[in-house]
Amino acid sequence: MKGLLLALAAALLAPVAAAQFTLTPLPYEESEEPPEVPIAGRPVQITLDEPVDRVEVVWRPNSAIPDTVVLDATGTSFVWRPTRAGVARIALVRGDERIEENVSVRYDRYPGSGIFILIIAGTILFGGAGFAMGKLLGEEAPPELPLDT
Amino acid sequence: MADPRPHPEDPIAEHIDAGRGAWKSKLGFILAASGSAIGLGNIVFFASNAYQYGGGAFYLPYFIALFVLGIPVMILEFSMGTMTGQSFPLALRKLVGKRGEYVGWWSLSSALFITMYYITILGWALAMMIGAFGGLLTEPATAPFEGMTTPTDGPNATVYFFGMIASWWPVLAVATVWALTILSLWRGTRTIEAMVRVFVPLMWLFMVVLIVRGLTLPGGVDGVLYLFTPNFDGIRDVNVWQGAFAQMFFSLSLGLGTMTAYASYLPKDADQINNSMVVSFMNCGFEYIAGVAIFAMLFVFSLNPAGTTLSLSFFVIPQGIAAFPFWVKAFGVFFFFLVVIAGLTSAVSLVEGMASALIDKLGVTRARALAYVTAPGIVGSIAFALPFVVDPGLTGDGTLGLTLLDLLDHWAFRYALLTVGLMECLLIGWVLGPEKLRAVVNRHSKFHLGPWFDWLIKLVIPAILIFVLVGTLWQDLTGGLYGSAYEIRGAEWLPVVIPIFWFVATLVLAGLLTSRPTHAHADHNVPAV
Repeated sequence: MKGLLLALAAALLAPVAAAQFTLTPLPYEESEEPPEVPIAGRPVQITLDEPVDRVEVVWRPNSAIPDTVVLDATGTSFVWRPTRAGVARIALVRGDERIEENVSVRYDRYPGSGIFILIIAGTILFGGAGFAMGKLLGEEAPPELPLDT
Repeated sequence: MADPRPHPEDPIAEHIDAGRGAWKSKLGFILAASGSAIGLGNIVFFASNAYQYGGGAFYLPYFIALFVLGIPVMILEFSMGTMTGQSFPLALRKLVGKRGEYVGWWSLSSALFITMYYITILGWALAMMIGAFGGLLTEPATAPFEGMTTPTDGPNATVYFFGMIASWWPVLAVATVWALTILSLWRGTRTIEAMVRVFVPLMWLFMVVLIVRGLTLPGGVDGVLYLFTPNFDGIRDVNVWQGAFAQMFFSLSLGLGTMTAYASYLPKDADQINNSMVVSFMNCGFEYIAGVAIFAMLFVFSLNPAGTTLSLSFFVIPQGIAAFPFWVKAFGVFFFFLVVIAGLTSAVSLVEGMASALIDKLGVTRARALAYVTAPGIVGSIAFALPFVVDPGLTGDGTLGLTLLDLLDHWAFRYALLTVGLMECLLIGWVLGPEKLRAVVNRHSKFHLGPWFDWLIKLVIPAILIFVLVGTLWQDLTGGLYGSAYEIRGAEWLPVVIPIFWFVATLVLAGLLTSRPTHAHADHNVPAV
């Protein structure tokens, strides 16, 4: 239930944070159309309402393995180039004040390892269920317990 | 097709008492057992744990837990039921003596408390489902807690939830869920089987609908791949392994007596290895697809997938659904209906586990056994739904009902199932001898368990469960008494009293039931081995 409070805090804080900064994905090359959402490896313009002491990006927030990166942020506008895809929390730190907002960074290219595990895990689970169910339905049913009615 | 087996009231029916009955078909048993295993937690547990512990890398401890712990213990619990034709306590008594019966009754006594608040949570889900027809996902919300008294800017599931539990409406919803549970159990396996034949396929269908919705959202596929892409940093953390083993036990509903009760309605020659594999793979398969659906949606809306079953189901996911581009109310109703039916099939099995044990022990009718379980069950469920605001600052859980639920869940759920699992493995492993159980299982199965199964039951699984229990206890001992930081007005003593009450009450109840004479018919059943 400890997560209950954390989720509550996140849900309540998010609308307030939305007003503090904006994210504008930039085109990879000048001739390109800018993407609509942040993509791994591609630049994103972060524009702050006011200067802050520090900007942090926490990858996989609220997990057992968060990874915090401090951005090289000066002034109220700078470019961030996400090094990976996933859920990140952008935190603006101003003295004791901390304003956070989640952002989802999409993949530039779909990861082979993720596809591999998706397929392998699905095969084991549904293949195993299908195999066992096939044995169940394929055997001769005793009269006292038919396969189905 | 007419059922050729003796009617349950036929006096010559082997190990079938009046009111116990038997499954009409194998498919009926499989649907019931998988419905029992697939519950509230399955919808969000896997996605939350996989996110917290490294995505696809979490599958390594997960599959190890499935094959080393989950399936073997399920084989054990199913086999105890078919070998003895008895519910959990009397099955253990038949196999290992009165000590086993005591463990069985202690398990069911804890299960009674767990059932009480489980049905309360289902009541909330039912109330949220009704709320989804109304303004839950479309209108601002308020609640009588600090920071929630003025209407929110838009829909806010968290505030709506706390406003709901601070009213008396959930009590009505809880009563409705109990009524549905009793209706499903009224004729035993006949009504259970009829219910699961509708609800279990519906569960799968609704989950597929949510998957399609999640994957068709912009970025949904990225979310799914993020779930499965491995980050092996988390694997080195011992909490990952503890979490995986504990989750597998909870996910498969082991240690609650339900699987043994359901299996006791099968003939003695049922293939329990095959049955265990089907139910376990279906359970974990459901978690797999639930993870796909939930993660796709949460990623698209940048919502944090970490959290408890409660916070994810009632706060985070509805917040995501509220952001859907269309059919918001429809998907909201869909989601909570899925939660209700997933939970209902599990609640039915929990009550049946207890009712069948009372029928076996006391020789009472099904109606009376159900009354013995549901009377205190309803009182307890209503207690967990009490709307009195005792923590207006939300330092803990806000209402008296949710506070009681949170405190009891922390102790009962985290310790009871794993302790029962440990005891049943030690009793079967060192008192009966697992080779005897294995011989019976192998006689009726196409697959054969080797001597490695004996070592799993005797040593490996007990070691794993002790590892998890000690870790959990260590967290509790070093982290301060759970709930002591909550500012509970007028009831600051609850964090101390609740665990003591649960522990003492379950021990006493188990002792009372063990010491009562066993009904003659149950005692004269064919020996198990």
